[in-house]
Amino acid sequence: MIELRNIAKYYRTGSVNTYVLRRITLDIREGEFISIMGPSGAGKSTLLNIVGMLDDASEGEYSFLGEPVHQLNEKKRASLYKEHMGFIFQSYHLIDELTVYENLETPLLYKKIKGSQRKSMVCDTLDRFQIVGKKDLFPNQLSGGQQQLVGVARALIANPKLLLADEPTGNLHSAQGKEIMDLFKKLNEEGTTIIQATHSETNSAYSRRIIRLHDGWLESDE
Amino acid sequence: MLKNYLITVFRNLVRHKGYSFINIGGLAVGMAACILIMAWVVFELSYDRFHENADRLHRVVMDIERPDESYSIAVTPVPLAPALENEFMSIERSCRVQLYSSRVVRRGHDEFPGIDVAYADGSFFKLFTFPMVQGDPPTALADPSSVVITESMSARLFGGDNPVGRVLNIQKRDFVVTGVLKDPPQNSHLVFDCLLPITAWPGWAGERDSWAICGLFTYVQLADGTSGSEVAERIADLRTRYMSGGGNSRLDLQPITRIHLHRDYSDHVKGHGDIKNVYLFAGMACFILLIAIFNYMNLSTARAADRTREVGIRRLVGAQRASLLFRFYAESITLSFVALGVAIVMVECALPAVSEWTGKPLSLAGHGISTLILALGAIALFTGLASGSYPALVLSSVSPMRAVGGILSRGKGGAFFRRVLVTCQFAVVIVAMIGAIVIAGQLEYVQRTPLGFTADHFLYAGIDGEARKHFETMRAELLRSDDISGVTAGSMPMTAAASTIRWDWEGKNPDDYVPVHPMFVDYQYAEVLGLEILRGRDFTERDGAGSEDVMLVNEAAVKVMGFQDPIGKRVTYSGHGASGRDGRIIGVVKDFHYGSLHSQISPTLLMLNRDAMRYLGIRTSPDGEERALAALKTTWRRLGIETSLTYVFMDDMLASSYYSDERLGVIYRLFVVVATFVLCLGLFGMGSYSAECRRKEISIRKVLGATVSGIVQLLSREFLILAAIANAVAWPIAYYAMNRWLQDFAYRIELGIGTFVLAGLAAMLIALLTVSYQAIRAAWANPVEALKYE
Ligand SMILES: Nc1ncnc2c1ncn2[C@@H]1O[C@H](COP(=O)(O)OP(=O)(O)O)[C@@H](O)[C@H]1O
Ligand SMILES: [Mg+2]
Repeated sequence: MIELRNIAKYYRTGSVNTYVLRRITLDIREGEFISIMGPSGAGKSTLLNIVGMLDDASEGEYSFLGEPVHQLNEKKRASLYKEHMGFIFQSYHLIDELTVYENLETPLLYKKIKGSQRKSMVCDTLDRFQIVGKKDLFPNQLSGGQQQLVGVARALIANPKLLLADEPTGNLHSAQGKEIMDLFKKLNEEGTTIIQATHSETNSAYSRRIIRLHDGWLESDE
Repeated sequence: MLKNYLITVFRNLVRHKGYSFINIGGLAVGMAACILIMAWVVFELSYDRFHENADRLHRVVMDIERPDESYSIAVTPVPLAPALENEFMSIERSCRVQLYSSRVVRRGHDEFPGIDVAYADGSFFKLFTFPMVQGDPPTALADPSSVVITESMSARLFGGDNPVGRVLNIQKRDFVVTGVLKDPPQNSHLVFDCLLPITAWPGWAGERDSWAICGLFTYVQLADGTSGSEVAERIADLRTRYMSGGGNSRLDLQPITRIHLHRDYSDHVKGHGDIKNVYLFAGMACFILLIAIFNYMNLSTARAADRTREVGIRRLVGAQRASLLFRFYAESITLSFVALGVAIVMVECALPAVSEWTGKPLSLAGHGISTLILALGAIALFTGLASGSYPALVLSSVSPMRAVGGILSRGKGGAFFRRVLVTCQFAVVIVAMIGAIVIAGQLEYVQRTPLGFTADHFLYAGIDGEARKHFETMRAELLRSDDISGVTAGSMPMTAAASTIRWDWEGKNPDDYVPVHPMFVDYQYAEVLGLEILRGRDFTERDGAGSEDVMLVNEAAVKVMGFQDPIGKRVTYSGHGASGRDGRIIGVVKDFHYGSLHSQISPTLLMLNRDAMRYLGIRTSPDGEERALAALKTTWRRLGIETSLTYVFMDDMLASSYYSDERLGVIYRLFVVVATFVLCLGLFGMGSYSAECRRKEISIRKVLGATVSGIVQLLSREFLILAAIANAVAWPIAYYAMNRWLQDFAYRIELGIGTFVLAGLAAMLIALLTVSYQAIRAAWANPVEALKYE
């Protein structure tokens, strides 16, 4: 599903290039559940963003479902992203002015899904995550765990093949974190490919493959 | 999708009520002020455009060159009109018009004062568009004793009765009403209550064949497709061809639509406007709108950074750039149209008051105004586009990860752009303030200018009509009162401008045409009015008994004549019903102001003519005004005069002649206040926003030991620097503009540096007060709170 060949990422600081990722080569098949681990600043988020097409690699090749991503234009990439991926963040990133219902609906609007179908998809998702009672509340009326649940629900609403999660439990206490992890496990069993960045050993235990990064180098892949 | 966006926008507005109010409210106030001013401007510019042939109508005017002076007058000789029509194919028709304001009209035994009379040729209805509601336009003025009256005069004189066929006595002659016409619209320079045939004009017999006397207005309608300037070229020397002594006069054409606003030709038409004021106010309208738009752009841009996160999230859940562009433009354009809507509601509420205040029937329904609203729609669109562009283009291009991370710090984006806008706003307000100070100063200066006569404790009473017969008795009786120190009379009050007549003196080059203003007055005129006699003497009872005419001249007249000692010199004059009459100069009076204080003092002849008296002038004792008036009323009643007594104190009269100037001054100042208010609104918004953005910084500084005053300085410094730069920009612009404005006044003040400093300081002070309120609040806030919050 995902093939990374010699991916590197650097930022220009002054006249020198500071490397954040160095020669990463990686293959990921459909149905995998992968944790990317490493200390803070190791490049986990950067790698995840490149895979999620939110950021460009400086060097190397990346193909997603056989498409050479590094050669595609912005529009093509956006549509690949929209079709196949969902993204979850450490700090939830819900739109403050919209209710839970409206937040869930937003990605469907961008996918131009029709009214009635959209409605049933939102209702199904609300059911599935057991947040029907919260649908008219605004993000600031929810606890952190509930907000993250909405974030996950939003990422999954369009049934993406690939779920990318950047420290999804970072702002949650352990009980809430466990709930999210259990959910991930269930999703993975249903067929969703999941890549999560984390530095918690507890979380990585849910996954079947762990990739360790250190200073931008791929240290181990087990 | 649109709904999703609008929901976000709306909830955001509600969440930040203060900013939304400042943002939309400020723009609405600016737009409303702009529409109101432009409604007045459009009305002023609409004068005489209602005539169907407006673009082909011209008034024939005359330029007279003299070695040391030149005159431009709007009156022309009687035989000019037929000559023009006969000799020039390009002149389709012509019409002569004479205006007499405020006359007495009698219906049976009832007298009605204050009626404006116009005399005109029968072609009047063909040239001008004054529709008749009763009667037949082509023949209405055919009979020499016919009169056409306006609807409101008909209502005043006849109530609901049909006026046609009824008889009216005007200027001592009987006329039969042949028609009723609609009241002339308020944007007509020709103002009249009734219309008589030109042959009924008292001056007709004396002037009908004279090319020398210039006493009435001549209007022409050009043939379709001919240009005014070409025709003007060809008619220029017509008058000189018909008379020997008109060598220095040239005829010209003045488009009828210029008459109201351009005082290039002196005439005695009432209620002239001034193109300068039109420009002044149009400029003001643009300024206010500009300030409001800049505010809106400023605040929108500043607050856009707060939307970064939303933009990032939207991109993460699949939004494309185009969709986000649309989102920001939709937001800013919607809001600017909301502001326009609010502005139109405000204008609707304010219009009746403004109409009354300006004395003009302003409305939003006028043709020009719908264009204006269309233009404002375009402006709203532009405002929306301009203020939406920064967030739309900048934010939607930021990479989503950076956007959600909020790496784009609040308030920093577009900072330079915002500083430029704030500086421009300051500059505009400073220019407007300097303008307000100069205009007020000039107005006051004009009012303080010595008039050359004593206006206090003086009252005029109208004696046109029946009362004139009792003039002698009345005078004798009034003089017996202890509260009345002098009684005289004249053909018109000192505040009215007279038309001009022709005069000649011994040794004058017969080719020169020099117009002179005649004033017909009674005994002791100079003494009672307080005119200073420089040489010779005032009129006395003895002069009335003498067989020859006597006159006083002013200094300007002496200068034109070029006599060392004018006493005893003879002057011949023609006009106002006289032709070739001659008189002897018995005295010289110091120059005095009459008519408009906008114009220079021109040559004036004061002639003793007891048949032309229309106003009684009474000088009262300083504290006896009321008792003098009571004495006048008693006398009036005892003499059994049936005409109602009309009187006015001269100082009130002067005040009302400044009234329109003064009113414009007040309106101008009001709008300067509005402009300043809108600017303050914007500064307040910006100030509180920048304080909010720097909350954390301020808290840290305080924890580290910064003083409150230090922090206030920190936050206010930027605005003060901008205000200083604005002064540097504004002063030269204001200097240039106000110099131009003053240029047109015959008597004007000097521009001093003090005015500039005052306006500049005022602007700085206002800015400081506005901004420091926020700064002080921020500085006093508990630092721990702020840090916890972050
Ligand atoms: N825009 C940027 N410019 C320069 N350096 C950056 C930028 N973004 C991230 N970095 C650097 O890249 C490195 C890796 O960041 P990141 O992938 O966020 O690490 P992790 O998620 O593993 O904590 C960090 O050292 C960070 O300083
Ligand atoms: Mg990270």
